[in-house]
Order: sequence, then structure tokens, then C-alpha cells
Amino acid sequence: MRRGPVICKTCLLAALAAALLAAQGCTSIAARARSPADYVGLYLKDRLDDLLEVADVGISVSSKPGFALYGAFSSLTPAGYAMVDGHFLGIGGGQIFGLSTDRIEIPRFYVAGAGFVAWGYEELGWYDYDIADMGTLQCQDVGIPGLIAPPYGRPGPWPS
Amino acid sequence: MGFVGNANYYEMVDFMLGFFGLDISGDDGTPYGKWWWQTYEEANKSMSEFTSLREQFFPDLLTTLPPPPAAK
Repeated sequence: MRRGPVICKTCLLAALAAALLAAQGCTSIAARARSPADYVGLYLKDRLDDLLEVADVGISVSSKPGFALYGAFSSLTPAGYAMVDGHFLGIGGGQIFGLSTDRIEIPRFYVAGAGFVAWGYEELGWYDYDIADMGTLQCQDVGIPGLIAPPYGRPGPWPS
Repeated sequence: MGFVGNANYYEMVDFMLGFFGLDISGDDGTPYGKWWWQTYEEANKSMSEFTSLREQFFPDLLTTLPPPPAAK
């Protein structure tokens, strides 16, 4: 039996994967924590925040007129048009029915999206966004060329 | 009123890797994420690179939507 080279290859791949993952960015808990108990609390808070950002499922409500008939499978096939600026009831954006680790408030919610299947553009805002200040939004170019070529949106909804 | 359904695939990986101390979305402790090659300031500024796309897809955006509510 020649197990040595197989184990070496596995170790090499694991080391490569670890190196690649480490290059992606480490958590900032150590810099934020003031005590070991604080570290544990922040760790659990961050995991809950991440879990509540995995999917957005709910209803949007707005007193202002808006329209949305828009879909994009995995950000690859954007089609339709959406323009809604209101509030969101459900899970998503780091909260669930207004409950998040930072506040208790039904979130403001903004989505603008338009696409022609091969190419499109999306903007998404939660809570304290300002539509005039793009730094408070999650903007992304969608469709295959949009996902590959710059500019790149924030990592959260890329792809979604 | 409308229905919203969206799955954030990168956030799924971020959630799982978070248990091992990695933050690939750069969003631990902050509301907006960033890529690993960016600072948070650069990530915010990079959104302005989408200005021309916004103008192409939503030319009347800032005139059709009302201003945000005043800060509390």
C-alpha cells in the first residue's frame, strides 16, 4: 500500500486551502473584545448577525408608490424592474421581524434593480441608508459580465 | 406591499467559515462589508464607481424618490 503520497497531497491541499482562506480576512473580534467573556459574546453575536444575513425572506411595505417585478437567478440572469423604498417585515439584512443584535426596529428597506437577462444593475439598502449617498448602499453590477468585470459591489449580496 | 425572496450565497459561506474565525465578508461588527483587499473607507468609496451605471439604469432616481427621513 502506498498511502504516503496520498496523505501528502491531502496535507498540501489542506494547507493551500487554509492559506487561501486566511487571505480572505480574519474576524476582528480580538480587536473589539475587552475581556474573555466579551470575546465569547461578540463571537456569538457575529455568528447570529451572519446567519440573519444569509437570506432575505419577507414582505416589503411602503406608503410611497413603488413597483417591483424583478428576479435574478444567482445574480446571473437579472430581468425586470424594481424600485421600492419602504420597510421590510421578515428575516434578512441582519434582523428578523425588527429584532437584531443591535436594535429593535422594523428596518427601512430599499431596492432598485433593473436587468435585461444578460446584464443588469441592483442597489440594496437596509436601515440607515441614504439613496443620495451610495456609500450607504450595496450596489452591484449583475449578469455574467457584471459579476466578473469591475466595479465590484460589496461581498454580501455577491452573488445572490 | 410586495414579496421579497433572496439568497446570499457568499453570506452562507461567510456564516460557516465564521465559526472558524474567518470573516470573508468583512462585516463582523460593522453594518457594511468589504473585500479583503479593501479598507472600509475604500469599500464605501467604491460604491461611487457605480454612479454611471445608476444613471444609465435609473436616470431619474434622485428626483423620483423623496429624501430620507431626518435623523432622530
